[in-house]
Amino acid sequence: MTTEELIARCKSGDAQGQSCLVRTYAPRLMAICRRYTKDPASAQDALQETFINVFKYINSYSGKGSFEGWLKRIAVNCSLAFAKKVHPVYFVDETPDSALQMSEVPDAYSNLGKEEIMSLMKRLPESLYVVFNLVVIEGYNHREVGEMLGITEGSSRGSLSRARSKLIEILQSENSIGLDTKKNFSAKISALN
Amino acid sequence: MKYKNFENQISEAFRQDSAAVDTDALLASLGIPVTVEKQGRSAWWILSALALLSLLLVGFYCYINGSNSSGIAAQELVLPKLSENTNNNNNNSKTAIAVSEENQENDQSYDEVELQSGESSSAATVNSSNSKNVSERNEKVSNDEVVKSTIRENIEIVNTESSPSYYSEQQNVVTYEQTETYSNTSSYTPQLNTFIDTKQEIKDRSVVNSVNQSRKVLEDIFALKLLKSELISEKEYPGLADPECPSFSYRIPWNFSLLAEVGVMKPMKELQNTNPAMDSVFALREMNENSKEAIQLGLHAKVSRGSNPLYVRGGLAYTRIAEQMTEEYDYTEQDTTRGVISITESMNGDTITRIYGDIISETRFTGRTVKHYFLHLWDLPIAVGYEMPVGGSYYVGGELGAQINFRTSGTGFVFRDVNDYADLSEVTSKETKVGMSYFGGLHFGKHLSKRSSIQVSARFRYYPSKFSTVDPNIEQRYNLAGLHAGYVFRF
Repeated sequence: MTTEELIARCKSGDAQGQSCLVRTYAPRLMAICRRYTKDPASAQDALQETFINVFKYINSYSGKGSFEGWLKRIAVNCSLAFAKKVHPVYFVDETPDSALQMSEVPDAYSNLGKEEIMSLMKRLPESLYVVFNLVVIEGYNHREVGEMLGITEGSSRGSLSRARSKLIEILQSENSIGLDTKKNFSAKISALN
Repeated sequence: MKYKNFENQISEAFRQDSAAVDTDALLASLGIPVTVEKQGRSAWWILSALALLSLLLVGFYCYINGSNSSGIAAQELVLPKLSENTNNNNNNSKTAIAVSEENQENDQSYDEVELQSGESSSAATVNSSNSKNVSERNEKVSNDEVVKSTIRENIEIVNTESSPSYYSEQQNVVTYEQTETYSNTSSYTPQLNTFIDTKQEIKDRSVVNSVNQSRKVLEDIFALKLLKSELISEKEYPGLADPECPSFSYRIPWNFSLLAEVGVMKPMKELQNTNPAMDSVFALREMNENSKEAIQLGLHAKVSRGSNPLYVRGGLAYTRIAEQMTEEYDYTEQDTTRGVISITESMNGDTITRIYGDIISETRFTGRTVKHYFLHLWDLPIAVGYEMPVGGSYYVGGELGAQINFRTSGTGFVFRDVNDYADLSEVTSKETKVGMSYFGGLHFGKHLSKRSSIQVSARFRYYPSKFSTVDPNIEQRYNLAGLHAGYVFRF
């Protein structure tokens, strides 16, 4: 079944199409929900809310852009809404620091796995973590991030910049205490968590 | 490693990230059945097939009955004669009763009747002790057959020995007119059609004796038969039902015909917007989207009864509605390349900041686009009509009916946004249905031959339900009006 057929069937309320859509996209959307929520239970709730909204608004999907992108956007919004309920996130306007792009990262971090990266990112403050995720991992621009989080575009830029410098700080501090291998780093991260 | 590369590494790591999900539990929480049977379409096809099969069977039945109508007409012609005979039969029964009473007054009893034929060599003795012993009635029936054959022989003798000049003696005239029909159970179902017409004048004494003997035999036979009828009607012998006269009923033939027609209709479309956010698209569609025409093809089975002017027809109809969108567009797109802020450090340690401004480019697009889309509707129409002749070979009629839509699909391109069209064949679900529509019309026709005729119909079709082509917020509804040309073939 092609994506277009799947969408058409879901638009007509066909249960088989809906089931197929859930089975196809649930794992990828679950990964998104996991990134923005604190615990697996909240992620599951966010995923459920995501699909409720998908079926509710699928008729408004015009076919513009990728369908998966549309689903991911709903998943991100639902996850953020859930995260906000538990821990409200406050954003402050910060000046972007573009010089960070030129900073060096120790080579020990060149082959990190997903879990290790996540552990590293989770050490960022909540507001910075969210913006970093949205821009770097999801690939949204600052205008879109601003719309999603209800902040200005400049605030989004500032948060990203701050997240980057914070991340570099973490990496450099880890490196200075002798974590020069991936294995040691993983062990350290586990110990910190 | 540069930090930028580190970020790329992160985004790559999460690009196709997925996590384990219990999809069955998720489906259950969403209220979606975990295993979904294919539904809807198969049921519709089965129902449609059953409906068509029923129509064909009804048609075939009517056709068979129609072909038998000539036989029925023959029965109808015979019917008055039979009723005449039945009347005669009643009269004869009365005669028989009178004769039997006469015989009772004389020396003959029904218990034992001896019949003798003086002139003829054949003689038969009938022991009809049935009034006492009913169990012997079957035997009596067989005896009765013997007596009947004797009677026939006697009558032949009378006929051969009689001459037209014997009519002068009125007292010796024996007249019997008899037509009898029996239709009864298996134990007694002989059909006796004996017609005796004897009017003779007998001069010769011996001949008179012979006739008297024959008369006596006949009287006894009729009396015996009457007795038999009485016996059969007794309720204590359930195996033998009352003799019944045959009943004849005139069966009104069913008329079955096929109607093939083609029509051109004008769609009258109504667009309705339910979402204010879609106002611009709605306005453009309402202004620039025009309904072109609707063509309709249909094959119908038509059934009526006898000369009744009312008829019922049902069948299959296909309708294609054409829409055209003419879009004249003129818009400007602006591309902005953001300015670049470059921060470098000079030799003496000062920070040098360079700002490169935004580059803005504008592109203007103008043009005209004409796109078409088509809606394909498959319906099962059913109608009740009234038809009457208007002189010569012409007829007029009117009908009212409903059409059950079992499939709607779309092809072509429908306007979705400025310079953006959706391919209906991809976005329209095949299970889409418009629901029930209603129609009414008048027609005028001419019989070309006994079996065929042509007709022209003016028809109006009303769709109460709305449907959407692409955007669910913009609903469209149709009324159709137009002319149909049809060919009718009668079986």
